[in-house]
Amino acid sequence: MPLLPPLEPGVRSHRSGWTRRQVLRWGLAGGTAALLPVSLPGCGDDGEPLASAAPAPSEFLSEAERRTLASLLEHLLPEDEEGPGALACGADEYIARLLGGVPDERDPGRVFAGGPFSGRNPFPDFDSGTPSRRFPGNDFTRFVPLNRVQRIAWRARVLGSGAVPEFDFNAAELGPVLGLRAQVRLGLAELEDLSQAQFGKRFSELEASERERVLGRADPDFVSLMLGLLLEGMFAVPEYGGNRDLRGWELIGYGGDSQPLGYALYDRRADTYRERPDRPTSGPDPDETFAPFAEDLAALLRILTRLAGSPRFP
Amino acid sequence: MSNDLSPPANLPSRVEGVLGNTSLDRFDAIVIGSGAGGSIAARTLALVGGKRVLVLEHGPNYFPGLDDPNPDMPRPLFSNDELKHAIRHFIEQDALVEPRTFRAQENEAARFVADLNVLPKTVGGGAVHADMKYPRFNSVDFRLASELASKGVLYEGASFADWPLTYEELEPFYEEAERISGVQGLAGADPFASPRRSEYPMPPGLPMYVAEVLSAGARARGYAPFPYPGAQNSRFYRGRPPCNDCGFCSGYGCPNNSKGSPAVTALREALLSGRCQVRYNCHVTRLLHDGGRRVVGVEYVDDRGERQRASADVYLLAASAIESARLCLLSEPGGLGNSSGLIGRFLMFHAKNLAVGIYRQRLHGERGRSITHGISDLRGVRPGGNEIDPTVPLGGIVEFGTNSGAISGAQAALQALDLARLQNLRSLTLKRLLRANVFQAHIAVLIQQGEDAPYFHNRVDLDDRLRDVFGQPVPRVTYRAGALERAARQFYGPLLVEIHRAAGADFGFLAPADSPPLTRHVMGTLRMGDDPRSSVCDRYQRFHDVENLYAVDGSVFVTSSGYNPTLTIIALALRAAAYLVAPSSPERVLGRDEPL
Repeated sequence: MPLLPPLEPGVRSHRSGWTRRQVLRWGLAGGTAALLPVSLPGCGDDGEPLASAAPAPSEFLSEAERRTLASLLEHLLPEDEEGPGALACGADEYIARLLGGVPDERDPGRVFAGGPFSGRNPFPDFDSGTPSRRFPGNDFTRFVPLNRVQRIAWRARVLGSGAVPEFDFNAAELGPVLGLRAQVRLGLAELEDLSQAQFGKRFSELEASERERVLGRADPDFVSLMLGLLLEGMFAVPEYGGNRDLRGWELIGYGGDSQPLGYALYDRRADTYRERPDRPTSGPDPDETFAPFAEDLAALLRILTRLAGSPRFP
Repeated sequence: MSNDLSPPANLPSRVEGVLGNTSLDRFDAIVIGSGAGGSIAARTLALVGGKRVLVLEHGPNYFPGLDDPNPDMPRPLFSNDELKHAIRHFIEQDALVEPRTFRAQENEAARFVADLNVLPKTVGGGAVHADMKYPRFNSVDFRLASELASKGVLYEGASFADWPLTYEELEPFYEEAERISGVQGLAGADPFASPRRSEYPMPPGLPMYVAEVLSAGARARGYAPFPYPGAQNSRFYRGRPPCNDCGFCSGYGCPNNSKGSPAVTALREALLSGRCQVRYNCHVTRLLHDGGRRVVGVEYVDDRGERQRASADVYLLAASAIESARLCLLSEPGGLGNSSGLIGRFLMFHAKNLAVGIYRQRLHGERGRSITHGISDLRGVRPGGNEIDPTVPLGGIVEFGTNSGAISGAQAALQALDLARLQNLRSLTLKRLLRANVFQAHIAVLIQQGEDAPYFHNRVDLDDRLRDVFGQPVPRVTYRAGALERAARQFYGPLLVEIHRAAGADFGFLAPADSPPLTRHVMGTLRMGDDPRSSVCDRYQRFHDVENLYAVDGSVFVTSSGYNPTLTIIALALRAAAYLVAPSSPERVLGRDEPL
């Protein structure tokens, strides 16, 4: 659901909106034009035998690619006085596992973490309306098997259509789908090429300002893709490899998964709900300060309001 | 499914891909789709009516042991996992393998759109995603065309019609749907709701903070906020625990079965009757028929990709308005049961108007049941819901919402970063915008589920180019807002923003109109009515043209009303199934948890 008003056309920076190519890559929206068929060793698009066991997590990217990826992510969201960056939060590991864990008939891959509980929260005690001392195990670590149709979709998404024979039903209209593996591998290679051409160095050896210049010339769809994956790696449940030690959630003050405890604890004896005093659901947090937004942030939100054509509140 | 996820061998569902009584091989009825309508129809037919029922479900089963008679119902595979549910389509169809296309007008080329009413396709159906907001429609909804005419209100191009039944006829079935689903609410709290004979089965649970904040604003504007009727347990109810307000409700399957989702209520009871079998991962490709007069079987593709057939005496379509209409169109050139030419026509979503408020305090949207309160003051009806207010456009109920998702909040922050760069606000780094977490922690959203008028030009048919993974033409949606929806947005948009102002928001704005609509509500396409020339199904939801074919999902809706549709889908499907099992006295099914 788009919450924000669209930016004025023609003044978009390279990260705004969803471009046709990016969207096709994820199969997310819009556009029916074909992408160029791409064949890359090891990406799946070269017709890698389907029966081969899925590589173990993080095995798809080479060490050199992992270095480039890490440098890119840390550049996009560096560690600073405001808090940990993408690397400390494990966003690179998230991406490595996404590319590594491909589902097949015997292996669920790393698409859908299991459920219902993570083991991070206790069961409620219905006799007192308070948390119990009993914790469930972590179901999230056991990934859910995919059905046939889901397998076709996810294999095509990660490996590309060339590696998935069943994914041919719209080839004539939509053309091949470039898999995530190929997109990442191509994008990282482009960063290295640009670094060498502009500065004669590896991307990981560049200063921040030099990296910014390289990114300014890189494929904007690739940068958008990596930013999207970075955010997933920061804020998804940690069982996908990112959000290490819940640092992503801590950075933004987010509660994360709460089952089976939740925030409304039913007290069977009193036939009523009790709230958690430190984390109420029906009122402000005990330490809420109602502090106004910082001036630059307020300026941005004023602009957003104006773009939407809505009145400014005094 | 791998062994570690399959239920233990002592459970009935030991056969892969099947739930319920696996020994059944002859059926009285086949239900296509296991969602809100299909589940209640299966329960009514199997549990109360004593019929043998086969339910064919397109998607996977995330309720291992749903057919386990153990009173402690096994827990499902859902979780508080935003990536899995909101981004990776755990429960929804995946657009890569099941695309849909969209165009605003007939003369445009339809384009591939990934999120086009992608309701969940899984055991439990579309309703698995829902936070189970279960208001009833107004009594005036069922005779809206007459009411508009009598008040001299005209919306150009709209094809309003009266429903072939009244609110009073449906009321006992609403009541039964609320009993089986387990709805919480407070009778009399919504001044615009139509009369009800009984209290809600359960009292309201705790309010969310965002609801308290917005209720104060709404009251200051003279409105009457009320606890939203919802099928989330606030007590132990029919073997399921009270909801603990975990925060991941709308868009998520429920991890502890406290949400009265169709799977854990009606479908489970159907399965436990011993007369119902669910085959999941089974995609129905077409209805086989005898010259269009009778359906004689269904053809489906199972999880091995093999074509299968099944047959019964009666067939019930419950695959959602888009898919049920599509199935008719796939089963016969020109459409099975389409002498009216109206199959796929009068497609309705809800005309959503969405006002964003930004508040300096943290509203912690990741706690609570997604929506706990709302108002009906902007519905466009008079108190009691028996008359429209001709001085304003038809509108809809307004939900008091927020955002539970960290990733979606961060994605909005990324958009805001673009804007900050364009505006040269260099101090706003990605890190600062993420930490500020404006679009998750500080956001309140007023969501109006506005009436979407039936227009002849809004329809679903078959795309002429794209196919799905089963090799069949995909649904093509042609849809645009009309006179009513434009008038309503213009009138109600500013009023919604003013609620935020009154509630103390620092900022408030109307979100852009979406096209195609991003709602999960969908209605119309197999309109019900008494005249076979102007409707597809009759007042009992049987096809005028096909003597043993019924539609029991949102496809039969004549109008969309301005309320969440699921409870009405259930009440109608229950009524249709009741007429099937007890034609002379359908009310005998009411209140029964055992065979007639």
